[in-house]
Amino acid sequence: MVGSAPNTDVRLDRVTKRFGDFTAVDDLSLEIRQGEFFSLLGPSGCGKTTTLRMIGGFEQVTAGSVFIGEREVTGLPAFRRDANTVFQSYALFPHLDVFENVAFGLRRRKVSTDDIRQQVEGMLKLVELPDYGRRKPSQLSGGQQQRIALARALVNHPRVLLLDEPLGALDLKLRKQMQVELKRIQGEIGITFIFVTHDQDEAMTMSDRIAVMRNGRIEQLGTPEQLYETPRTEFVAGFLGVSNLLDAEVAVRGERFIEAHLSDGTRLRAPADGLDGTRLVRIGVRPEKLRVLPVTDAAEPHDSDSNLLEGTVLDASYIGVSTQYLVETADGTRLTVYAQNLETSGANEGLADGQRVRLAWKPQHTFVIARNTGDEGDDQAKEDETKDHA
Amino acid sequence: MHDESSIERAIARALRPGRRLSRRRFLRDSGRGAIVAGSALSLPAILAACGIGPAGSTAGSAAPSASNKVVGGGEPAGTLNFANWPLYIDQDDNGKSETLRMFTEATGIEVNYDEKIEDNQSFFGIIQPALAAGEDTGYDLMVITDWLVGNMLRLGFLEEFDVATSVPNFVANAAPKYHDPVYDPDNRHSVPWQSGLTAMAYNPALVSEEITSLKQLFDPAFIEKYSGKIGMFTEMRDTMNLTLLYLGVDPAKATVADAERARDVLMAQAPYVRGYYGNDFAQGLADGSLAITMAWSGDIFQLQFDNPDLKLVVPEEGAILWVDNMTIPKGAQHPNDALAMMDFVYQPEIAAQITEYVNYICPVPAAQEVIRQHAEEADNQDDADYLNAVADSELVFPSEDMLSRTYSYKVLDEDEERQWNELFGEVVQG
Amino acid sequence: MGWLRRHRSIIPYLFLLPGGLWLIVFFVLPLLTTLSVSLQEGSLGSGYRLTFNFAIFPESIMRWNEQFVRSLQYGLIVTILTMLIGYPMAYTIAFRGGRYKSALLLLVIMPFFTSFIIRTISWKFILADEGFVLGTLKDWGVLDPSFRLLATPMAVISGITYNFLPFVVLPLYVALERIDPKLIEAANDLYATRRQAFLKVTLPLSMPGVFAASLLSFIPAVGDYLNAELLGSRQTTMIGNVIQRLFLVNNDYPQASALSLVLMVGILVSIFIYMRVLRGQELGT
Ligand SMILES: Nc1ncnc2c1ncn2[C@@H]1O[C@H](COP(=O)(O)OP(=O)(O)O)[C@@H](O)[C@H]1O
Ligand SMILES: [Mg+2]
Repeated sequence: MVGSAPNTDVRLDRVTKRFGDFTAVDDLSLEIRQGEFFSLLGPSGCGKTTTLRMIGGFEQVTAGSVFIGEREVTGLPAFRRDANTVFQSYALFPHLDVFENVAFGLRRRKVSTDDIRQQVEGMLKLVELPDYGRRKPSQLSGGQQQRIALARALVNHPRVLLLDEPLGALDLKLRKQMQVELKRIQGEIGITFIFVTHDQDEAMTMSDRIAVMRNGRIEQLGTPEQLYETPRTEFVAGFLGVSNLLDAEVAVRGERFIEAHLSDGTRLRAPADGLDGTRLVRIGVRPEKLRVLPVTDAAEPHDSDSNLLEGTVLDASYIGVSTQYLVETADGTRLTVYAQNLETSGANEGLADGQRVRLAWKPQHTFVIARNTGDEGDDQAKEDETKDHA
Repeated sequence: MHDESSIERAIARALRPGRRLSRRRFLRDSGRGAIVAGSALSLPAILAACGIGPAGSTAGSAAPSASNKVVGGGEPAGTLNFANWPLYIDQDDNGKSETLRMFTEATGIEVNYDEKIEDNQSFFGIIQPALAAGEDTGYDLMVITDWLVGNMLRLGFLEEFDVATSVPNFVANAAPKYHDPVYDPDNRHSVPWQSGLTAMAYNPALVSEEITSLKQLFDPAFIEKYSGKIGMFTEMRDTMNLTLLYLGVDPAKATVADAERARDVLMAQAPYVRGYYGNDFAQGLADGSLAITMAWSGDIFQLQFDNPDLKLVVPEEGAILWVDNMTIPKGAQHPNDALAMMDFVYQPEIAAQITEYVNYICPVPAAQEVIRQHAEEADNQDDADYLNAVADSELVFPSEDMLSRTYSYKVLDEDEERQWNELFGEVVQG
Repeated sequence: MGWLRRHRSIIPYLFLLPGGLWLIVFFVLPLLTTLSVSLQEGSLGSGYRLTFNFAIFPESIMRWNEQFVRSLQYGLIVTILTMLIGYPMAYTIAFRGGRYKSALLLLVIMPFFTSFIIRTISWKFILADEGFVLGTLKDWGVLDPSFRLLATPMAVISGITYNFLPFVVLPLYVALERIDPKLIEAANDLYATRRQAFLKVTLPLSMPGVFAASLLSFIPAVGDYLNAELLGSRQTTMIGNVIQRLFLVNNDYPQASALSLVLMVGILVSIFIYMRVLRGQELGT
């Protein structure tokens, strides 16, 4: 048995979970650091909840080991694990009042009555519901129940707090508010949070690191910025924000940059790191990184390093903070561009449908992913997910 | 209620395939009707509401419209409403009675045969309000046990008839014992339908001695070794009257003081008694739960087909001969039709036909020969054996000697009945 | 119709009408009749007169005191037994039944498909002293030849317990089935062992079911007489047997009615005390 590094709070080592023939979590390894706000992000059915439940002890692993702190907890029941959970439906005890709900864990651990009162009251203050102790859960709003569920878990000062889509049932405005609140609370008490969500925005705003899951595996793990700026797979690129992807072939491998050619011969440069020997690739760039230049304006000054690509404007829509263009390139690929409306009547004003333009962006804003076919289904899944959300 | 008894019949048939059944097996238990009736707590309340409404409350003053006219001698109306106990007449597999069919054929009288009577008391509860109000009960002929004949007679609830002219077959064919009974002198209101013995029975496999005396049922010194295997009856009249015989008292002459002594005997016996049974005593005797028990003759006759060792005992001290009688309730609409039925069943051929089916003591001795004849004519050995067993049984055709040792129930007046019930209640229910 | 529209508030009461009429005709009236009968004196033959004989109530209680106490005792024991047997059954079906839930529930109510009486009579067959079960065990020498089950308090209590078990399992099942399994996980998550989770979460949440189930077994058990009649002896006479005998054998309607009313009141008082105790307990947690 190998212990975890001292600053690791949770470690999964080659964990697999099968339900009958179906593999819900597939040989998954993961390390979560102390005090980290860590998110498991992915479309529904990808195994997030199952992973969380194996950490909490509600589900036993089919294979592999689970560590909380230095201790292996594989096989231990939930009540012997130093982790607490905020359930998606809150699961507050309907027969107990708020005070007793929050005190539940402390009472099981035989904390003295005085300490219990002090700690519960402190925790109710932390979640900003100090005078609600005598209410029954049914007398609380959804947001208030959510806070009580949080208090009930945190009052035990667990090593890790597990949250399974805790904001899923709240309306958008309240959700935004609670995101801030959760971050604040986590900052104040410094407990490791493992947060399950299928909402990419939520994961991006709150997390220190995110594991994007798909089909029971981790597709990519990193900070929100890493995942956004340099997605390693098409799935991640598509799941987090909008990306423009262009089929290309690697022509030149430099030390820092590679050069790849599109089918019409256009040369594009991109950072070389993270790319193995693959020749068939996709070049990706986020819509907000693109600048739209009129073709006619040959004299337009721009960084000679920039990648340049010609295309035709199919559609332009003004959406306040930005204008969104849809541009079609020579090989028929359609790219999305977000152009910030820096001036009320900017350079781009008057770009009409059908107009030829050039798109420019910096090579360091480019990412490269290996081209693999047969991923249509997952894009579909992602689309469903976004629809669900709307 | 009818559904329940047909369920029981079905079960009984399943348990005893092909055997004819006596009605007492299922319905002697006075509690049984109640079991069916009172399964909900509030039902007695409803029964009370039905049983004694305002009519019942005023009954005391409403003397029956006692025209002391004798019925009979007229033309039958062509309809007979006949209330009897379930399974107390010959029936084929479809429940059709050959006797009733022949009666209609011979007389042209249509019979509405209603197996309405599950228990004397509760049937009386049903017809009492109408009788008290001087109204027609809806029945022309009903079969009730001798003591109830006595009670209803006293209340003026039965029609009188001239047995010599109206029921000549009874005069000609009934055994002497059934003429002029204590409960109805000169048979002016009743003629027997069937009768039987309340005696005792035992299972020799569980009892080492021969049982001949009521002492062996009542004496604690004797029954101690059969503790928990002694059976008594839950019917007050059966048990109290048999106990009086043990005390050497003729029930007909018993006083309340005698009844109190009987209660004392029964209380002394109670610790050894397994239970106070209705017709389920037969099951107890058959399955070995009871070693020595009070018994009805018809049931023992039936049980002996399965276990020939079981013995019915007419004790040295005597036994009770109970008689179920055909009677005409006051105000009956078709008394001439009722008398026609009474006369009809006293033909030996008809009496034999009913007895072959119900197996109780037949009031017509000449039926014995008819049954022997039927046995000879039977087309298979099983039937012949069965019919011979019926004809030869002392439990169906008792000897004069046996009958001479039998007594009738005491006919209780209202006060006595209440007192006896109270005394007996202490015995069975503590 | 117009009138109804103008007096909308009356509509809910109209819905109560059929049930209300039913109750009046089949409960209130018989109850009043029972009361009136209990205050009469006389006999079936000579008729009854209302004499406001209130003394009958204390007299009845004194005379049948032993049977009253026994009935309440049996009722209590049966309620506890049905709960001890029925709760684990309902629990298992609700939480472990999986896709066999309906099949298992069907099994529970299966006995209802045959008549109550027939079932109890078959107990007599099965448990007869020399019957299939006891006879065999006696032949093997496992049991003393004098051993018996029938005609004992145990037989009566077992019979009632058996007959009312389904009435207990169904409400308990409904109550347990409604409990969100997440709540039990939450309890485990908050350091409650299985036992503690049961005691602190499952049990309190199933209390409405326990309450309903215990009434559904206690009330009919106290009033029951069939089991004592068929499986018992003189020493197991219950108040229902007494009422039954007074009513249908002795035709002593006043006495029987008085006892019925006393029984009703007795049960109501027991329930009242029970509710107080139960409420007290809930406050205690
Ligand atoms: N108890 C279970 N039995 C069978 N299949 C299950 C069970 N729990 C989860 N699954 C399946 O495992 C997969 C992953 O489930 P889950 O971890 O809940 O996904 P997520 O939380 O990512 O939406 C799903 O396909 C789900 O149907
Ligand atoms: Mg989930």
